[in-house]
Amino acid sequence: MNIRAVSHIISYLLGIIGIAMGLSLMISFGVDDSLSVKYGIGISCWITIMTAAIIWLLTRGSIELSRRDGFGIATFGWLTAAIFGALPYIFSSVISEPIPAIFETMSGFTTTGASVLLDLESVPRGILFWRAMTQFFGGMGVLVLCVAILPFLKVAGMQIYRAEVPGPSKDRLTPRITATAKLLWGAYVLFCLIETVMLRFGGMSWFDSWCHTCATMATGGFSTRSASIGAYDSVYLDIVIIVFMFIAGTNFVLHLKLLSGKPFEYFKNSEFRFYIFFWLTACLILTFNIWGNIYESFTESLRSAFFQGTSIMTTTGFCTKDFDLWPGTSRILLVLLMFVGGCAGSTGGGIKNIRIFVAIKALFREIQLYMRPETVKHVKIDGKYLKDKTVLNICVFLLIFVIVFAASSLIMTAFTPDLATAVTSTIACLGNIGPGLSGVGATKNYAAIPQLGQLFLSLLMLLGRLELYTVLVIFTPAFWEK
Amino acid sequence: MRLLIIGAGRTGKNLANKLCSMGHDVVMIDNNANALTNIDSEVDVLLVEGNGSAPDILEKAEVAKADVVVAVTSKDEVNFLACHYARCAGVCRTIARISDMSYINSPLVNLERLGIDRAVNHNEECAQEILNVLCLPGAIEVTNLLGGRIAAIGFKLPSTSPLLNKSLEQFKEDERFLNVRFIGLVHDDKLEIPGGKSCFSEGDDVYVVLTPDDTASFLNWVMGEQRQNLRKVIIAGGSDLGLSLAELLEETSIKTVLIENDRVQAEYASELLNKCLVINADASKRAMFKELGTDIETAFVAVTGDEEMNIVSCIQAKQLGAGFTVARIDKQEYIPIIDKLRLIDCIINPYLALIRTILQFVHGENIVDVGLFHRISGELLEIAIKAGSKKVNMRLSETNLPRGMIIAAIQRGNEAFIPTGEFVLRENDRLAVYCLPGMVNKLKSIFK
Repeated sequence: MNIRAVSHIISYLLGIIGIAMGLSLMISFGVDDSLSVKYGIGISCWITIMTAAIIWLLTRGSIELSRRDGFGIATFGWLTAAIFGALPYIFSSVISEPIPAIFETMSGFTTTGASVLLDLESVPRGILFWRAMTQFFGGMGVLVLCVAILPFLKVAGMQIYRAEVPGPSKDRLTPRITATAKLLWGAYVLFCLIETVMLRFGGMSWFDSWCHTCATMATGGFSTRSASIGAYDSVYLDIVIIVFMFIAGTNFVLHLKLLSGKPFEYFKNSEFRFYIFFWLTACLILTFNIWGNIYESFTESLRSAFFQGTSIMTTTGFCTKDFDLWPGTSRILLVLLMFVGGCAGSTGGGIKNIRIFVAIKALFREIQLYMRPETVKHVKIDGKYLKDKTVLNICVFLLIFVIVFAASSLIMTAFTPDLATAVTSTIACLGNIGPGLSGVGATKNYAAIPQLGQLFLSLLMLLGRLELYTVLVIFTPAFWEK
Repeated sequence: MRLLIIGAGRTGKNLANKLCSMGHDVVMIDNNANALTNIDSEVDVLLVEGNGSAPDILEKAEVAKADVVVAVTSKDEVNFLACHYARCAGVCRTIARISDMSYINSPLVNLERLGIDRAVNHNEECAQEILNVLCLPGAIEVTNLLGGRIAAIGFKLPSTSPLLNKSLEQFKEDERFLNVRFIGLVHDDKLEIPGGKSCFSEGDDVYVVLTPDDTASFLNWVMGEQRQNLRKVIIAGGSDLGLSLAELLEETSIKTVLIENDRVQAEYASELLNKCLVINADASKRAMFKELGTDIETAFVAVTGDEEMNIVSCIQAKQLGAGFTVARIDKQEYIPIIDKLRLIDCIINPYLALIRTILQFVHGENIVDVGLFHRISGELLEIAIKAGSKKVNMRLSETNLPRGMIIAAIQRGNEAFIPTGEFVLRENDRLAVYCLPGMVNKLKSIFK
């Protein structure tokens, strides 16, 4: 690994984080938080920017990155972001201990939405804004932003882009990767602005609108209320948020095609069709499972099922109802939805629809080959066949995901009182969802988990956000060879 | 500018790399997925997998948006079709690489109607380049500038040179140096633009720019001894490049022998050539050289498609007494390694000549890339001084060029010469400028 070049790029990333802290500081002054909060954010901002400047000065020079350096930048960049991003919580004494603060930050950047803050109404606005900003930058990816704004990266930009953008195939739309990154961020910011305005019309304040927008478009799930979206109890807000969660869970490349005047690309894309089919089926099953059982009226069942189903499937993690009280079928279904996640190239986490879709097709092919070994059959997506190498890569990803999930559940039983908490906290963090069941359910949070457990869950969030391979290569000796 | 390159082979990849570093947007099409994966990790371009002559693939690569289409696959037919469709889609300029000369020479073919602005054949360009070197004993590289009015040559300093252990300052009064501009010096693998204090030592590679009339006498002087003119050239490899070279050599007084391993190809060669002696044998056999007789007046040119074979047979020819050896090496990566061993006098990369021509075509306008050298990086550019440029009426010594670039020659009207610092620039002058790698964009901005 080229440590100098990797550190140089990380210095830019720290610079962006420093600027975001500066924005939070301005908000903090605007809403007139207490002096200790302003001081806390201010000193964090200063430390971050100074560190960025020092690293930048020490590591100047030409940048040439190999493929593995891209992985190094992603993993260490995100770790650095989580550590520096935790400073405002610590210095403002909102979360006094470092490990829970890192957990909260990692949860923000990876757009998980798992929180250790108990009473959100008493948290200063400046800190809440910072919390929203971590999700905003983590959603489309702070490194993709670096690729968008640093023209000198060139080929290195592709390595970084590849390591951070989710999904098995990384589409690029323009000859230059910088331009693709700019378009993606542009679309992301555009959707954010639209949603903020729409939420404002629903009666939220500008501040709450922006914070909830960050949480929705990044599929994060941090709210400014302890009761999450349930606190507003508005049909309009629920629908707006369902729509935007769904948008955020879709491949942004498709959105870009819509913006360039090709609206029918959505339905030509088999992953999108699979996503919409899966989503509708799951939400309808949820509806009929809770109708008459938990809620008397059909419309209320429909509304809660669709909100909760979308929220979990897109890995956002907002809550309107305590789904921990729902019947077993619904609860298991929600846990299974956590595995699925959004589409490739979206801001959502999880395994991603395309991988499940390909794995199912590969499964049918294997069965057919088992019956008739002389059959020649390819796995096809959008009418084009996938190379066996790609199919294998996807199947191995699924396998690693399940192994990591199983092993981590085992480890988590040491930190949690019951089985459901251990298993669901693992998948909720690995899939970047946020709430799980039982001890980490909709009305509870992660404050009760011991610090060692929180540290472990933070690692799982990073593994999930960077899609396993990127982080796992760091643990191979070959990565560290000169 | 947005370019569409069809064919991701060596030429395509090198071109993409060059064009990208010049700030152009590049899209590439190839049907070989492995070649594309290879490029993806090295160059920042958009890649499309598929047949470059298929209209749907071209559409997918958004051919209509391209300003220039470059078709450089190994198949002429694909290149033709791709350019044709590109023209139908409204692309303003197209260039295609053509291997079979009959496509260009036949009266049946109308390139314009096919939608091809320019067809390039790398064999011809490359054969001419080898001939230039062979005809100028002592030189290891020869490039023409400013429409052939100026030559850029490279040579290796022998132990007999009067330049040894002296600096350029010491020759200030020497009139031989008035019309010569030193543009590149490679000492211990380090490339620099020599200044007054630069000192020359044995084995350095030196690049100079001068008028073609002066080249022979200057080279003789700098070599410190009369260089033998060649009497005989042995060419190993009778495929396209070897044949083109043999044809060119037939017009000179140099005796030519062509060795070709393949019986059918050898017979085809003997049919085509008149004076040249064609032998069907393996060029790496020692006995063969003995029979043909190699001495100091003999040059050995290995241009088979197998570069390892070219290298080995060149080394062998040198051991057996050949005065000058030329090897065709296609892999850019091999060149510095072979160069360092100092076993082969001249290295030719056929793709470099092709890339040079294509780059000229792509740039057109007021800036023309003319020179890429085989042995040193950096580029030679021709720049026209347009009306209204800040540099008009400025003395050369006042232009204050940054380090790493040097004005080599100037063309005014039909004449070209090596300017002094007192020279005053006028409108429509053409400058030939050499700059070190990475300086091209800076240079362009200076003369914008």
